[in-house]
Amino acid sequence: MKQFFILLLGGLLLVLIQAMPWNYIGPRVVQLNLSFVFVIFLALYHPSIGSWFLAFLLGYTLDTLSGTPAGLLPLINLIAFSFIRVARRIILFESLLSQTVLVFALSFSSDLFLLTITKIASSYTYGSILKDLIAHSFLLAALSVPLFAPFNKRVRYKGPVFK
Amino acid sequence: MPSFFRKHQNLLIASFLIVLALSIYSSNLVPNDNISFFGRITLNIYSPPLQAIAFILKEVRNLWFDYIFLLGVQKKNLELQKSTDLLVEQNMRMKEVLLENNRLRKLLFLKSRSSTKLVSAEIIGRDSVRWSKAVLINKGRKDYIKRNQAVTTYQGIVGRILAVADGTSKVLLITDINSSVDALVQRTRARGIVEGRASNLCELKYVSSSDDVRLGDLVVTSGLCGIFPKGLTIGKVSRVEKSRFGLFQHVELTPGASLNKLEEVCILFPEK
Repeated sequence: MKQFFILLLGGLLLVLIQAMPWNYIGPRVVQLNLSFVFVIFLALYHPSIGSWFLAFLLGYTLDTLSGTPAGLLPLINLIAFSFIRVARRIILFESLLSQTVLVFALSFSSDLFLLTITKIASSYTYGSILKDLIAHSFLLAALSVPLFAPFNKRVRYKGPVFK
Repeated sequence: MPSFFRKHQNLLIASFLIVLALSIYSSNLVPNDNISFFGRITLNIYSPPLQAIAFILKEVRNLWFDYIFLLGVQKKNLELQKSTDLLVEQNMRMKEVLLENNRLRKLLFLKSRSSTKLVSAEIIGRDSVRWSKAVLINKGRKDYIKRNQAVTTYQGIVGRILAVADGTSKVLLITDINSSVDALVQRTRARGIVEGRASNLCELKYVSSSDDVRLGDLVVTSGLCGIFPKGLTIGKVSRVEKSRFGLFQHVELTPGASLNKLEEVCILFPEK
């Protein structure tokens, strides 16, 4: 329970950082979806029942603070969470490199999903937004390294062993 | 039975939450004037820390610009003095025109336009998702703010109120993909609808190919959408593309208000 509250506090703090009016300091501060990295972190390192609820709650909070249709971000978070839980049965995400690649791939796909479902992509060609998506996903993947590194040593693979 | 739940608890919880997210999403597809109970609580919880952070960031910025970063201030001062003189002179002329306008209106028995009530608000939070364009302001239900009220700055319109909590409101910017405003090109009175592009630009849609639209043309509100009064600046035309066969031309707008640097905004109260 204590661990859940610490994670909850950490998640809500990340949302607060995301929603902070950085434009008071400089309008060009890059907007990164930090809470999404946190959801991936939860799926990799704390896959408890509480984490499912946290993934939902963080998405809902972000929805409320932003202009996206309510329910969309919890859905994206839960799909990413489920994907990791299912994929872990067949793919090993033990090394930091594989986790970074995972963050990149999931961030890219979730952004693409969001853009398609909100019809933002329809007012652009996919080619023109691809550069933005890759840059954003790359930054998130780079950011995940210092977050995941301290916990990486504690991971023990608990799935079936393939020989 | 309990063993079944224990065995498949992850699957059951995941399914429940995904269905819940889908139902929230589908229920919000229909425009609704009320923000949900949980949405209001979330906004109310986040409002005080965001207000405090906005205050601190603003003070840090002011400290930097008012005391440390003072290079070139004298030069800028002189430039500002010149532009102030110019504006004072322009203002005098405008006052004359206004008085003349009022006289003529009376002559024509036209109803004089009542001044719209304004309430100023500060930006306390920006959009936390990159592709959507919304900001949080420090005025809400307590200040009699309602959904769909117009939000502007002296440079041009900013957006409309999307959701209202007790002391906070969410403003959908005109650059958001879900925003649309009925508009006119000021010079030629060509009609169109300004829609957001989820970047820092907007698009003036459905402008007929035969209409005369040029770079730098000012686009203003038409007053037909029922949210913005007529004649407010939306932005300037920054790109025009005419295809040979299409019915409409592609017109891109740069919003008049610097939406990236917003600090204070005004909320318009509709005339009664």
